[in-house]
Amino acid sequence: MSRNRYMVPYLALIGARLRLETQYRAAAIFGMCTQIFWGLVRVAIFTAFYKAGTAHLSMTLAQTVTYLWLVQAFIRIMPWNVDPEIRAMVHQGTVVYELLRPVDLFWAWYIRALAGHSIPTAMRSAPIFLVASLFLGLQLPYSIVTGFEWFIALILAILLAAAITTLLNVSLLFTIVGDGIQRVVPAISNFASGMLIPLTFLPLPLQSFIDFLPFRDLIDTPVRIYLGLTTETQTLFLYIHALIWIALLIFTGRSLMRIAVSRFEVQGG
Amino acid sequence: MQYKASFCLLTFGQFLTTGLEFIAVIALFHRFGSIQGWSLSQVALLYGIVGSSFAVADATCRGFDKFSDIVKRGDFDRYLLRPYSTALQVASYEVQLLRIGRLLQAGIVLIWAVWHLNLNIWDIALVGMMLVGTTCTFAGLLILSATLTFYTVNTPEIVNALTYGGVETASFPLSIYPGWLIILFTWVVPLAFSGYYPVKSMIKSGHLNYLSYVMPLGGILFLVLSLVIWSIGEKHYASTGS
Repeated sequence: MSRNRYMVPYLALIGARLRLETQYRAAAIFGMCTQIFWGLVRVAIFTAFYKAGTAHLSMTLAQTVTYLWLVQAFIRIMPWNVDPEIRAMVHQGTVVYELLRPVDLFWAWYIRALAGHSIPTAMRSAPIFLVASLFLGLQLPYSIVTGFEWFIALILAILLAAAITTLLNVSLLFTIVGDGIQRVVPAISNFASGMLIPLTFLPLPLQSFIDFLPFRDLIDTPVRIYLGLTTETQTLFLYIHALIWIALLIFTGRSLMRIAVSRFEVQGG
Repeated sequence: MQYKASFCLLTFGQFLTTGLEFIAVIALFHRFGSIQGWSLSQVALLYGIVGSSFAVADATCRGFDKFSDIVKRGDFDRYLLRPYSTALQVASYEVQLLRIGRLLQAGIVLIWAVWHLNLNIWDIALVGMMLVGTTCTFAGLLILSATLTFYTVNTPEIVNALTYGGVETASFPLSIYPGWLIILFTWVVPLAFSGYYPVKSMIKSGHLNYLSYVMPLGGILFLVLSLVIWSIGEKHYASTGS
């Protein structure tokens, strides 16, 4: 009972996001069309590249096409932006009101980010997945087992994305440094997640550096598991890789928030 | 320009975003060699023209990009009262200097491509014309999407498919795309006239093709046409304010 009571405010945050997303159905349909347009362009580019020669490629064209459609379907996982409401709160100073709420501020922001990634992802991915798998060459998971493993990897990806977004939100509390982080992190995450091109097409030295970073667990890891390109041990290792980064980013975010909050100065009455 | 550190970081962020996008393109050429017989430097020429033109168009036409905000706030009513052209007022709503990051990145790619391809003076003049033509096409596109706002108030996200999608599509040789995309970016949005076709004849034929010098004018024509459509749409404007 008492545990339930603690969860209520966090659940309310998720409910608010759900209502927000379902309000703009036309926008969702337009967004889906945009994603399919992008997918078609990118599939055409890669198909043309594959025609040039397919020496030393670790993925077939069909696998690459599946990769590209999964990117489009799950694009809302990407941690591109700070929460505009939190930005407004920080700029106007009303962020201090947040401290009055009887919840842990970091977890409240984390749950908020979690809702901000999981709900749009679920809403956007299903129709694109359906259309692309019926008409546009998106293959189904390699096997039932990899399909299941893929789902776990997706959940980890969303937990990771929320951790990155929360860190970006916390960085708002540090004006200049934060500005830099908010620009650089999304740029790097596009490149190092596999969103721009599948990571296997990058030169090897670069790949091993990117393998170390958390971003690949947003897109590349789930997709590779989906395609059956990883062994059981590799899958397990990738899960642990994601979990360590999630823990690390949450720890960093929490510590930074504690520092920032201790420096808050409330002006006026 | 008041917040220098912030401005530098934002510019750097832009530079990094598009820079990494181009590194991804380089990686693909490194892996595959070429795309339909086009080498990296040839595609880089297209990429550089399209990228820098878009940066200029987007920086100068920012108001059209944000036009739905202007309409929603009811600010457009004031624009109508002033004795200047509304299009000019909207264009000067805000000059977005942040696009300098993108311009810088695409400009470096363009200069590298021109140098690497050993272009002669006539070719470079043609590249200049293509830059003007492409910039006008993107400007026209932004004006047209803003014109839609007269009818819908909100600018639908799908318009981004034509602007940002146009940047992506036109950065590669058009012949790799399915037919409907070729028609879209040749006859509906004439990006190919000031990008793909002149570049192709410059690179592939080796001798001067006078038609190439006429083609970029298509972009200017498109801009004029979209301004005409803008003034037609303006008559349908109904204020949202009280």
